[in-house]
Amino acid sequence: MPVVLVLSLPFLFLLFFKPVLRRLAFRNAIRRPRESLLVVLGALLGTAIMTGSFVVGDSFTASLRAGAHDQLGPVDELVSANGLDDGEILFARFDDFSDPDVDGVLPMLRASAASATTTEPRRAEQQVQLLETDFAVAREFGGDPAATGIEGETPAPGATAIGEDLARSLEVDIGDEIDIFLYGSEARLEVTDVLPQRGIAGFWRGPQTTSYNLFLAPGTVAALYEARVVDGEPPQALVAVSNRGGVEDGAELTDTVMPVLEAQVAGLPANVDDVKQRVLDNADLAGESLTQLYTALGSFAVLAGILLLVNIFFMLGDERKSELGMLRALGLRRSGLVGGFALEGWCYALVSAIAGTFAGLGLARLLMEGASRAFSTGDEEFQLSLRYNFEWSSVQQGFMLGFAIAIVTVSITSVWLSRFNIIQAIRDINEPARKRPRKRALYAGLGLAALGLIMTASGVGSAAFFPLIVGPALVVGGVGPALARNLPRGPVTSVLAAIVLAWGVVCVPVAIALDADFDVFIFVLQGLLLVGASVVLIAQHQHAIGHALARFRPRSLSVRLGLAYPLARRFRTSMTLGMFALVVFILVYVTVLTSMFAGQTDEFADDLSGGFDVLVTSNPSNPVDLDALASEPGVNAVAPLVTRVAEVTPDGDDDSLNIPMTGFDQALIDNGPPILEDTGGYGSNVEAYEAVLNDPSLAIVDDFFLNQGAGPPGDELDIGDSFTIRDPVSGRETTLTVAAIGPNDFLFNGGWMGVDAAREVFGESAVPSRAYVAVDDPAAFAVDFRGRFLDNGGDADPIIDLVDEAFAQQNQFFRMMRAYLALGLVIGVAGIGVIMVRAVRERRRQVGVLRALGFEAKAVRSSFVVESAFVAVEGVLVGVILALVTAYSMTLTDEFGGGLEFTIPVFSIAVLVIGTLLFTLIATAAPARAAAKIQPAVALRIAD
Amino acid sequence: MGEALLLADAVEKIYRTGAEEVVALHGVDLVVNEGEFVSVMGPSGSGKTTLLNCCSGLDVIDGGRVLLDGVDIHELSDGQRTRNRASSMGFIFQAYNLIPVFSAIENVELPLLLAGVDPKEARRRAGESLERLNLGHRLKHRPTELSGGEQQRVTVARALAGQPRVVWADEPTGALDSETADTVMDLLRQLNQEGLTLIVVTHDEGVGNTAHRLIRMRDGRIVSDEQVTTPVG
Repeated sequence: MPVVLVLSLPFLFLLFFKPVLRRLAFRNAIRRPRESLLVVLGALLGTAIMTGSFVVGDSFTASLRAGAHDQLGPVDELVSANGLDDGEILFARFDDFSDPDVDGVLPMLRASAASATTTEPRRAEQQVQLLETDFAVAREFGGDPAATGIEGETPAPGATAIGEDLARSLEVDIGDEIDIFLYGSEARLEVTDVLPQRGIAGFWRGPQTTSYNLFLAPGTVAALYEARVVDGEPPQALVAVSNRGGVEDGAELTDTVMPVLEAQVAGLPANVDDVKQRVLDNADLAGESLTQLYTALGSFAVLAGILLLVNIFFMLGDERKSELGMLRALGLRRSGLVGGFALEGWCYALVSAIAGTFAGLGLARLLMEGASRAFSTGDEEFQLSLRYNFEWSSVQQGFMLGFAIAIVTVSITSVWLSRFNIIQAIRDINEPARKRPRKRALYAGLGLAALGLIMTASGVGSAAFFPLIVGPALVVGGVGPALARNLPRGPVTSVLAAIVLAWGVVCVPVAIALDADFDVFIFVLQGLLLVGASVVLIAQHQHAIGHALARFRPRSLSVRLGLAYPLARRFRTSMTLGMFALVVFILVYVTVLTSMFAGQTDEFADDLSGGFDVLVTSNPSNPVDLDALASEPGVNAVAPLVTRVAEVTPDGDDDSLNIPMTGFDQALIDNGPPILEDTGGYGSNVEAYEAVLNDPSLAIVDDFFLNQGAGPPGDELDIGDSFTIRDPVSGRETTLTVAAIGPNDFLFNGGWMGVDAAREVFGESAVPSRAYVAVDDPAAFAVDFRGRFLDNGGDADPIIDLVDEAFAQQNQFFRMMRAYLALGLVIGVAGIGVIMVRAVRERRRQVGVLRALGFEAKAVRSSFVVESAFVAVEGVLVGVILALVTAYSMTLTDEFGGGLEFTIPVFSIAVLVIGTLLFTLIATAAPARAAAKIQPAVALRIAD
Repeated sequence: MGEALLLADAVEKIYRTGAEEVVALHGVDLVVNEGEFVSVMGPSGSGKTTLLNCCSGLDVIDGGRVLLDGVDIHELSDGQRTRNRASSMGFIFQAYNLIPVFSAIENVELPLLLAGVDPKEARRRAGESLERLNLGHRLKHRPTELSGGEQQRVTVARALAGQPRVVWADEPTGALDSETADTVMDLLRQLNQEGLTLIVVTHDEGVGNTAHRLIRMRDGRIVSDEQVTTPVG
């Protein structure tokens, strides 16, 4: 708000102390209320998009933060140790624990198991969590019984209280029986209670959003483990710690409590995890990441809105040229004129920012509806329940940004408009364009070129994408005035624009090749560069294009008239063209990229699977006997995998991320491991895997290894980079160096490491419960496997199916993005409607003359349609061509997503193009009809 | 003198602004013969321009009828009336009213193209018209690049390009200096002598007195209609 006030100060001064300017501004603003409304509508979209982007981020943050209430509740930190022996020692350490910042500790024993119903048809869940704890203690934990979700008595032997998610999934209720399977044994339990997904009752640490929990009588897990017939992941002892304060604010004490807890477990193979803070931080990070993505993509629509605003102000300036000239002649200073114009703009900016903020709140609600659908597909365990939420600070930020953009745009435009020759303005004569640039333009250009050189050098040196992409374009643009002083201006402009255009096409591959930081804003810059250069180039040759088109209908006066106006008003046409081209460019670009990625499903699946066909998983507490599986008929090879979630910290970072790590052995290499994207200097794929298998300090990761948000890869690890992995249960850790870059991971393998190295870190938990399997008939094998290994929580899927599913979710996300980007089209189409309404107003008299001369009403109507169609078709064509060329340029590098194949989604683009043009014509229909209805005598009688 | 070209019979025109009604023409009767040069004079608000608009079909009327060559132009559809204007009328306005995005020659060829003349032929004839008005060196210039006199001469050329039977001129010299005004009026007189029917609305007594017939209006009525000079033919 202070920013809005500061930006408004000069205008408030004019408002209170310059009555003439105030009168001028207000009377102009209310002179034509309907058109003022159009200006406000054009300007409010920017605010709406900004506010919408922020609120989408807020909603995602709130939805993810809700996980802290549902799956952690009072638990702020978690101390863990592997196995019953270490567990006992751990529990003993916390028997008499007290700390002024801690209001409770809760010992729990945890194990994983598979579970199934007892009656046919049996329903099963392969990954359930068994928990043992004293319900009376648990209810008091954290001081807020409701937040724990714990109800009733601690289950008696043979009984279980299950979480509502599991009850829903297995379709069981109180009184039903279920079987659990672990360590080669099974136990039958009666459901005595169903607990809500909240706090301790909903306790869950994995990436899943569901909590498949079974609470058992203390001693049940220990008895099953002691009697084990299969070695599986041992039980884990957990001590949940609750800090003073509520569910979210308790985490603020984590930094103080962590050292105390670490001291408490000193010398034990135990880990202390700031689990609540991590969930909250990740929620904030995901929210910020989505805000950034939406803001970046929305910025195309915002830019289109800015161009529309500039255009409308230029039209206003043109229309009022004579009166402005008269005002100057009467003694109004140029600064006064700027003030009057800008004060009028301030009124529009203020009203549009307020209206836009409300529109943004509505827009975000619509987006969240769409996102809800996108996130409710796929596995139930990973579905995110989205809730609409906004922070006042975000609403204020959206309002402030929207207002600032509008006010800066109108202020600059006002300064520009006030620079005219008084006599020429009064006589409504266009000022002739200068043949040679002024000296000050020369110096400014040279300064710009020097700045561009510095930016280019710094961009190459620091691998920062902004100076790297913008620098060369500034150099080319900056030398323009110097060249145009000595050479013909037109050809110089054309050549320089063509160079910038070419740079715009190749800049992203070049930035990637130079290992520049990647950010989604890179596309905004690229789009601006491309569209800007194209518009300048087209503006230079607009007459040739127009005349060429007119040749198709040489006798049509509507065509001639329709083309005459856009050809004569080059600046305005360029603004409209740029507005259209920008939004079409990004829409088509995202459409083509989606199609290119989707077309790679088979290739990605081939790369990921290597010589294997099926991914099998089983419960780590009751794993499938993979040796026995390997000897079955139809099974050609089995590569056992040890997959555990680790806390990963890249070198130089303080914060860790929870990412899976997968240990592999020689069997994976022997039957063909996944195809690497970059073998990192090793002679072959196999050599790279052998090096990693034999060297416990090496690992293989993919481009998306550290990616926690949406969009293209953010912080990437390169070959030679190091990172630390830490077992979240035992706290053991090791440092790994990236030896090679793997294919994009769609199977939750995470990073690859040798199996021995994995055992060193994860200890007894390093159970080979997953495997890559080569079989004769993947589909039949998968069905058979699921049925036979129900007790082991066995699941099997052909790898191609898993990749297809991942792509389907990705496509859903892309579709949502496209829907958001289509907002830009709304601006483009509405903008052209606004421009045509103003054009009709501006040309009333001319239309009157034409009608007097014998121009039929339908010909007048057609000429307006031709005019808007010409600009729209040009804009759409520029957008489509640039998007296709840019998408093609992405295939020239192997570094973005790896080996993309260029494809053109003809149908999607055709729908987009036809839809855009159709809506443009619809938006033009009303003003064109109004123009056709102009009565010649009335138009000629009215001077204004 | 030729046959009656235009016959206005009890023409009424009322302007309505909100609840208020202003009668601009009170049942005006007027006959203009072919080849006549008629000037219409009167104070501001007397109905001169309204008479021109209504008789030329630019504006609709609230009563009476207007026959051009025996055809009631207000009985025609908008499209028919428009085609009728394109084929048989030319207009000259005080504010020139050239199309700013068209060059001089493009403005002049416009009525020809509207009349369906071949584009090449239209361009040739437009060029000739402008040459005749000493604007041969300004063919490609846009209106904003021409002086007031030049713009009005382009307007005259445009009005004549379609070889209309009648030209309506509303204050054709109102925005011109006296020397340029004389040139334009000489030109119009010359064209009238060649057979063109000319109806000029003007404030300028000098212009009015050079016509064959001078009609004076007041409060929406014709208060005098006198023969000033004898028309040719």
